[in-house]
Amino acid sequence: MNQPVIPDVALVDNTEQRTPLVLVLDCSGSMMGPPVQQLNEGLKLLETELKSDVIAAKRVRVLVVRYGGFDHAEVVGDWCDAMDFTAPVLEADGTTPTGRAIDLALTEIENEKQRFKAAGIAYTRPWLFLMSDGVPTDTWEASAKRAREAEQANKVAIFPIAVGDGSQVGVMGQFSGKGEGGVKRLQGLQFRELFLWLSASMQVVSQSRPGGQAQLPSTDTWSSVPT
Amino acid sequence: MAWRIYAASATGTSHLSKAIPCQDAFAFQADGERLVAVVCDGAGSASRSDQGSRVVADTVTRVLSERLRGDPAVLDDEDVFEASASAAIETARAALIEIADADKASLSSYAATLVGFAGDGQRGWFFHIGDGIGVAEAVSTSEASADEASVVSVPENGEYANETYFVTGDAWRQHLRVLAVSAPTARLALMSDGAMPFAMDKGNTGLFKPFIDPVARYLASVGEDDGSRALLGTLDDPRTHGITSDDKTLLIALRG
Repeated sequence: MNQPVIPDVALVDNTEQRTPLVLVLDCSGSMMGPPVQQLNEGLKLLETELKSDVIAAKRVRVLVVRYGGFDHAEVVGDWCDAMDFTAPVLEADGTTPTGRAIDLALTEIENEKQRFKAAGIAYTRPWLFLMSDGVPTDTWEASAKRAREAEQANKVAIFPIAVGDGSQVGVMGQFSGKGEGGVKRLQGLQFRELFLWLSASMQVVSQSRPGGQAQLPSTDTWSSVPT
Repeated sequence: MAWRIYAASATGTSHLSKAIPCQDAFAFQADGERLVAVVCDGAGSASRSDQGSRVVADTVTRVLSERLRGDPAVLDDEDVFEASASAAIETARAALIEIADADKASLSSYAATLVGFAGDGQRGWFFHIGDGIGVAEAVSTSEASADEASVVSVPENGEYANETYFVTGDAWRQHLRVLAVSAPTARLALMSDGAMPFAMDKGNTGLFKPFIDPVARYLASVGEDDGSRALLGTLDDPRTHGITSDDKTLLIALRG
């Protein structure tokens, strides 16, 4: 059938919708050497992959929180759209203040939501990626409770990732509303696969529309999570 | 002055790639100055939502048109109109419940949103559950610009942009919103959320002129069938694939 065409129509995306993604990354001394190297390579891959997807590049908002030093958690750079994200090169040293890091991440998420609301920008549920290769060295229990409650109140989706033999799934599970069942143990140092999965998932979630369940790319137990 | 109505639904790329049918539906009935038009968007997660949106669009349009034909004064009063719209939705829900029983499926597997307009030449109402958007632009006068004269029935989402409410939900009455269009409408648009990113301006305050002006100009120059076919071509334009992978429905009614 001959399709008539309407001339001169502008077709541009006026949507202002964002999907916040916070990466909370353990940079304690035990990450020194190959682990932090591969983590950095994974971050670089995440940058490339997100930028290669036209929709995700515009909609995913990235923030990196690094923790290590002397029980120190800090924001690396600032919130930015994926198209403007440059993967930081992280260095490993010091302790594992997981509690402080998660507090900082939850505060940043709430602040970003307030900015979205003030600017009238729609958003999807923020994702918080909590990676650790050890056990917390600060007083983390209250922070873990705050994280669990935030997730149970649907304020955020938390994905704890346990790396290596030094981490404990039991402890990591306390940072998730889904408990130990929500913890993913990284096989070896497959940060590359992890960040490929994360990028692919962000591409799905940032496009998701009402009533949908994001069908995430499967890596064993992570077949589907509500958006 | 009579209405000329153009409408099309384009299946989203995410539906094509997974072999899911188009879950949007539209329906309309015009009778001289009187018009009832509805656009529904079936939930992506609901397995039978293509059927749900079809049944809701057709049933609500039919029942409300009959009501309007019998008693045009329905448009005079908000409470009376809301009751009439509720009754039409109730009829559609009853039809879905019957289908669900026969199919041994849950009502929620037919989940669909609804945005509709009912009016005559002088005034009208939007009725709306969930997302999608409706825009009525008044006959332009010398003192008011088109922007000032737009009435917009906005989407209702939860906290998150990917949450909304459905005709099939238990709380549908709470989420039914009606909005008065008190001036004569020259141009009406109803759309599913898939068409909003490019058909609406930033912040959803009105139709996006670089999109709607060429479209309306073209449609005004052709008949309804040709216009609807051309509209489908525009909604299917590969440039939209970088904007949304969702189904896209747009209904445009021009009067005069």
